[in-house]
Amino acid sequence: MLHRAHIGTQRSLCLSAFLFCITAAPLWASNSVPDWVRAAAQQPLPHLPESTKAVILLDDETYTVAPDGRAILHEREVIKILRPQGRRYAEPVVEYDKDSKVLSLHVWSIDPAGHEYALKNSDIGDVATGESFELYNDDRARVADPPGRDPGGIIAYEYEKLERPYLAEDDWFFQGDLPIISQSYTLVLPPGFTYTTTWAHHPKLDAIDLENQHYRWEMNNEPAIDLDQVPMSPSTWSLAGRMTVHYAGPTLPFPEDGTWQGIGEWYTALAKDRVAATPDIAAEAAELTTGKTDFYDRAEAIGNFVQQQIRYVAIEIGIGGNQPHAADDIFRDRYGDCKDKATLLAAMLSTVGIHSDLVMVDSERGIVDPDAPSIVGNHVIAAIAIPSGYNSPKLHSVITAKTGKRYLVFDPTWEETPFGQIEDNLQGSYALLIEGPNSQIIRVPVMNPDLNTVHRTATLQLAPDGSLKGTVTVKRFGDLAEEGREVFTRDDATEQQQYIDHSISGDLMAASLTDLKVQNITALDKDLTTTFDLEASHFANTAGPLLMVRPRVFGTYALPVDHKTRTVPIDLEQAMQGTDDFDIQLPAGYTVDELPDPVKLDLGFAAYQSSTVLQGRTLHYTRTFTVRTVSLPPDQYPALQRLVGIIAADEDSRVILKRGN
Amino acid sequence: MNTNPASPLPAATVRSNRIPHLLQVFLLLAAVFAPVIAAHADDFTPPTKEELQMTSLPGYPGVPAVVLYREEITKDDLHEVLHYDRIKILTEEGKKYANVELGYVSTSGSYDDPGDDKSLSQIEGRTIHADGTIVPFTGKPYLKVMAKEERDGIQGKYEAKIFTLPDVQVGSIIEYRYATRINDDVVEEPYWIIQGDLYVKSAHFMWYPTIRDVEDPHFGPITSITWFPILPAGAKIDHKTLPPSGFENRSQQIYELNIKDVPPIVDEEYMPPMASYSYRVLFNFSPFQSAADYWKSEGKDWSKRANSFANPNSDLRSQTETITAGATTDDQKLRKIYAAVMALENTDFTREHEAVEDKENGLGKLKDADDVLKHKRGNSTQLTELFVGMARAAGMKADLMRVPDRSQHIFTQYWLSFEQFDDLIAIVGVDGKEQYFDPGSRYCPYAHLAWEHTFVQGLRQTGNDTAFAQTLGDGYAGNRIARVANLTMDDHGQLTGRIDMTYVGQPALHWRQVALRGDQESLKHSLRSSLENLLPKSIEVKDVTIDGLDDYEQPLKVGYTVSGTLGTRVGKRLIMPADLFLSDAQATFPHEKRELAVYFHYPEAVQDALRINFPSGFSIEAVPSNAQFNLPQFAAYNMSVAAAPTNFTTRRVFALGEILILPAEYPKLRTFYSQFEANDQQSVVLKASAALSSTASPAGN
Repeated sequence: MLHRAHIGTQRSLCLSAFLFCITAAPLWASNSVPDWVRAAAQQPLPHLPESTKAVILLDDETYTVAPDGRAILHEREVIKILRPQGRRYAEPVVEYDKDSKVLSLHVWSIDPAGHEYALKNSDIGDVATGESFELYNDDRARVADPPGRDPGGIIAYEYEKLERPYLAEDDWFFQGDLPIISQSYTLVLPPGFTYTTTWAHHPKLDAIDLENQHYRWEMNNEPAIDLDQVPMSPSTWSLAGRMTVHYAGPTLPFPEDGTWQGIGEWYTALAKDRVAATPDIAAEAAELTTGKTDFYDRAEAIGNFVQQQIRYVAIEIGIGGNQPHAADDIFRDRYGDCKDKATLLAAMLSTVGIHSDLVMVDSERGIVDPDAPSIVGNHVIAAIAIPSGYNSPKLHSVITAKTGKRYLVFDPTWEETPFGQIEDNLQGSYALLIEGPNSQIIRVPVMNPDLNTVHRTATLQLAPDGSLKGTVTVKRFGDLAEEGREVFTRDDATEQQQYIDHSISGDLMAASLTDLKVQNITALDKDLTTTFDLEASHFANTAGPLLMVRPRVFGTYALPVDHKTRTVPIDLEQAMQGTDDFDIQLPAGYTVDELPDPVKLDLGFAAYQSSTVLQGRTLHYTRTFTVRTVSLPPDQYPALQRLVGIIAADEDSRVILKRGN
Repeated sequence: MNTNPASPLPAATVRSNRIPHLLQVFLLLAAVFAPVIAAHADDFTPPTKEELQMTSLPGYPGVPAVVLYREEITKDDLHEVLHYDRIKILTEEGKKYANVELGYVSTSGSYDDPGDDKSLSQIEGRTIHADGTIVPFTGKPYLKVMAKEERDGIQGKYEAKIFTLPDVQVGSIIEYRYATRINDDVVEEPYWIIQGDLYVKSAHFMWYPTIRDVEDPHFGPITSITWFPILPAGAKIDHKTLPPSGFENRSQQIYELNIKDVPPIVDEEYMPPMASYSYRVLFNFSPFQSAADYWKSEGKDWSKRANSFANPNSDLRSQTETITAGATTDDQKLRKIYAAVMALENTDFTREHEAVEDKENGLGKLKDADDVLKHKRGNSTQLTELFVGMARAAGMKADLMRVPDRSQHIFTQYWLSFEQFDDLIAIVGVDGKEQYFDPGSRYCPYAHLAWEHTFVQGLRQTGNDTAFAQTLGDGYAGNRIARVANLTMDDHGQLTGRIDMTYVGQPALHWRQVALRGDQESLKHSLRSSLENLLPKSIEVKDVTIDGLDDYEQPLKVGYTVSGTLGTRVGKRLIMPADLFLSDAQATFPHEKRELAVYFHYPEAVQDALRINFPSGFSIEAVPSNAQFNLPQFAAYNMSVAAAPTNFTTRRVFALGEILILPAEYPKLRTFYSQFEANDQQSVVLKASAALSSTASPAGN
């Protein structure tokens, strides 16, 4: 995977010259807190939301570029803790890796009583960081736990870091989950260098020209993006403002001009040699496509191989966070990360005459901004060129480039998404198609709801004592089958039974599921089908002469809306369609007294309909829930709340049976 | 050195982080290594036809992988441990076992206080496909320094060697071996962890203890080797002694375990804290002659150190006198002392303070109980020691007691390790009767314990000695939640009203400690979310008021105002949940099969009382029958709904009296839960005098 550069860190300002920064002695030598810290600490706070845990009083960073492309990042930051939960923001973290170096780090604090502290070098730790999906990476950090980390306390730090940027780009993240009172970003370029800026999720600001190739941007009172208590929220970084600086100069091997094309050309060069196919790769591709003449069938055979047979293992060192391993190594060892898998796919496809490109994207929708070219992102997928004039109903995640060429967007890392489709979290995202001078931003399409489905059917008999017995079939396709496929592929029989038990434990308090059968676990192009026998006692409730039956036996389409006013977009997660058909044979001696009213509602972005009818002695309940898009603007929240209320009421509705007659 | 005969004589001083308190080896004889008794094979084991063809594990369908063979050979006098693992991959999930991260802690120090200089090397591995094709691991393992720290002249590093085996497919056998080494001046007893998340078909463990004289830095010469075995029936440690040989002419002890067919660890909901009780053998170099000797000596040593911190000095006596002024009985005095300790900051809920902070605040180094009072803060242990010190200063007999945190561990005397203890409680003789106190659990009521410390065995002070003791806990009546709702529905179906929650005992302690870790705002948010998770989503929880948050001797009372809609319209009827606090409940025990005992945190009672007032256009058509279910000796439940012309009132009581239910009783427990949880979903049927208009529709339908 690609590193997301600098997200979550804030940087600072230094007007010192580059060479001075390189060789600078420590900027302080005594235990006293610098004046800039005291000044920041003493400023009055504006009105902040009650939920604010801490506030960044000052964040100044300076990015000084050397003619050879090296750069010094100098940052000063001052944080005030407002609530106990704010302590976690008061532990400075300065990240580095094998290609960067922390030249200096100084940490100060002022406790709520006003006592001042300066940390010694020996108080600053050094830890490995960043391990999540990677088996190994070389990310490390200098960390500190300064004294005085209590509400009312002040934490300040200043550091310099020598960087070797892989791309002539720097990103200024000027908004995050804390409010920022005062901040600035200063760019220092060598003579003859030029720069451009792009702005994501924020209007452009003009720089203050400080002369001698020094440029500064200043910003005050940026509010926090606080999504802690917001259901169905997009990611913080899809809302937070950031500025990307690209720079160019005569001595840089890859000057950048602030365009997607420029970034694409850089990455094309980085990955070019890695895509080379070897005879072994060609032989495997040939074997996989033997007897297949149709484009889709050939691409699918190779796509499935890379998706299923290449184990996801991320080993990222230095530029390995961006640059794929060689296809030969990936094929031989049968493992790699996302960009490795996309690279091997490209290599294999190339040997059977199919062209494909890498695509840079982020796994969280909205982080890549089409109007703000940058390397910000954490994932690589593939775009497989579709032959001119070729059409197939199996091609779903198709995009058309400005060149007119069509591509099938496919993610060989996502192991449970059928070939021809793309997983839900990427749908609607913007991404960079890497194709040399034709590199361009594209939008990953949103799949049709009928490609992501769940269909529950049950044929059941209700006994006079309220117990229920019968057979159930659940079919899932697309992303809605992902969890089930993982459980039935990866978990043991006990865990699989527990998964099925839990799938109904919210609706049936006294149920037993037996004779579980599962079909098409690994056949991604077919429904994952589970069948089981169900017995549930106390399903229908008795109240006097009445027997109340919930025709919606199990399964829910509840969405976690709250009752608050919405200010941020709504992430619906996925387009989908769910259908339920339940038949309940009534017990002898009971007749239907009342049925729930049918429901039908279409809000555009989603639709819901349900009905319960009596067919002879059988109650038939059917409903369909369709979500047609993946995100909504905030002003659609009332409509969504209404929809959720209607679904909840329908899910709780009862058929009233009466004894006698 | 003698060795104790095999089990059941237990023992082992063990360190959870495997940072050795290392035993110094005195080379009284010439430093010539003892004869090597066994060596690990130079070659990997050839796979059998059955291993290659294996596709599943009979009796364990769907397991991701199986350990075909595991070997661990410890040779003290070569200062090495040789490890070998052979794993058959059975499913896609099993491929993850090809990613190997071998973590270890390495310490380095001075000549007088050496570290272990632990290293890990000689990593070799390969993948064997189901057709017998062998793919060797030719890569170089990555060394990652996770963290490093220096303390008291000892440098500690947490490192890991990381690698992944090549070309792993379902059906592959992966195998790898490696050696860990420590320096010549230390030895470390082995822990044989036999059971893990994979089935083990066969395993072999051997230990060649050092033949040299070994000394514990604190208690002197090592005189025995003891061990704490948890093994399946039939498994046995083989102990033998080889006759003296070699230059040193000393006997070589050998401990060996061959074991087959070890099932994986069971993981179930509501399971007891079993993590420390998987199959294992924990060895210990011991300077003691028996288990009783261990607990006596180590206990005395702990007690002495604890007393040196807790015992009151003149300042603490003086402070205690001031605090207890006016009190005439032990109980009165101790309540004042307890309140004084409870008022101090417990840094386990906030943060530890650095010495430099104390210095800036004019405070010296915190070295005894009196300093805790002067600093006005301490961690849970220090506050408990302060409480005991003040009780002693007030003239009462007060003892400390080491206890496990039973959310994590259960103590056993047979494992000779103080690391089984997590926390400290206090025992004070109050007006002639011993009472147990938990001043380290801030906001725990006087003479009560946090549930983690109840119903456990621990080690207490008894004068100059120590003894095992048992704690008790409150029954269900002492841990109660009362949920009271009084709601009114108007002519348009809108519901408004108030919900009041009262928490007593452990539930109150839980919420008060949530507040300690945050503030009022975060507590209100947590409380609001907690109620929202109980209620139908159509009800909005609004204002939250909290009463008695700091008054830990009194119930915690939380009030909410709510509004929204409730119930489902069906023609002329409105179906209302009988108990709205259970609208979103899930079955607690949905699984028919159970292997382990069911373990609850504490006995408790939950009482619901809710009244729904409805407009005159409605009348009650039907209410559920009264229900009562019992699980004799364990739990009881009853619910009733009383109908009135313009309201109905539901009363529900659930009481759980036991915390451990054995597997044999699980079917009865599950039936009981199924019965009452199904009953919780009962409805009250209201009938409208006229057909319900859409404006009276309660939930948007």
